[in-house]
Amino acid sequence: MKSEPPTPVSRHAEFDAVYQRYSREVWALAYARWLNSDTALDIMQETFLRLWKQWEAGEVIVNPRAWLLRVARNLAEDFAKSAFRRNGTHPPQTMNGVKSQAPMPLESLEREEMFAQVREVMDELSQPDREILSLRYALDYDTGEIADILAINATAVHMRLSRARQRLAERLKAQGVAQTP
Amino acid sequence: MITFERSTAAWNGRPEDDVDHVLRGFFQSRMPNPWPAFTPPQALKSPAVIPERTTRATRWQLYNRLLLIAASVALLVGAQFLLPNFMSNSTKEKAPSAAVKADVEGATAGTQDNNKVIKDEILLEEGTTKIYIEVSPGSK
Repeated sequence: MKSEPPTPVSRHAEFDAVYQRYSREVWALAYARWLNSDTALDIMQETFLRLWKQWEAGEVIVNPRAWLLRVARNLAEDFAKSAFRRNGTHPPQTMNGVKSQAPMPLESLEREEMFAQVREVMDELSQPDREILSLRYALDYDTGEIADILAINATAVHMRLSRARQRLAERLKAQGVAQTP
Repeated sequence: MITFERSTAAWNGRPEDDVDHVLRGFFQSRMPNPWPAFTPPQALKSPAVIPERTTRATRWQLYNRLLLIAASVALLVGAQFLLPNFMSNSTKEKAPSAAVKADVEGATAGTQDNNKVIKDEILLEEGTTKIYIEVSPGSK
């Protein structure tokens, strides 16, 4: 039986399904690299754009998830090389400090203050540790899923996560993080 | 007081604590909301057709350049042939004015010997000197 070639509509639907399934993972890894949401979004969109072009060219990608994550990592590294060209000596994350003119509620201010502390600790962590944290807390992935994405064993995931959490807990405690009721 | 949404779920058998809540709040607040949809790029249009006018102008410029080069070469080649000829003609015209023709026959009238006429003729011709001496027959 001769199979019908995929129509543009079916190809779009299939691509959209891949996008919905893996785009957040790609974003999370890109965010772990740069700790900048807009940069991570740019990298994620560029990654899927490249996948789109591959599909349009008729390329068959057996494992789109692995392909996407590899391309995203490469793009994140390429971004590092071009960051100085775009921003001079100021890395992209300094732009995170830009605040709006509108006054923020007190709770929001305190929240952002704490998140700034979290970000400082995150800066001190290695990229593999940040990737684990990002997948764990941004996407609520379990140990098995994280191990599968990062191609490491579950024990290593658990150890790294515990170490990173411990470090963060000490910092937040030293800063007097407000306890939840 | 800062409040975080608590998750009752346990992670790896361990109930979540405040650090987990803080980290979740941090990461999830950084995620774009709403999540952007993927917009496929528009199909590439057919390759831009270069206007014929531009093509013609470009072609004419090329021909112009070629003609200019050809004319320069022709001028150089022509000059190589013309210049030597010009130079040689100029030299021949000068030769007669430079010629020294001494007719000794008249100058030596006082010592003329009926039996011998010495006729010197010196003619300068492009680096050569020719001397004509005529001796009358019957001289002893």
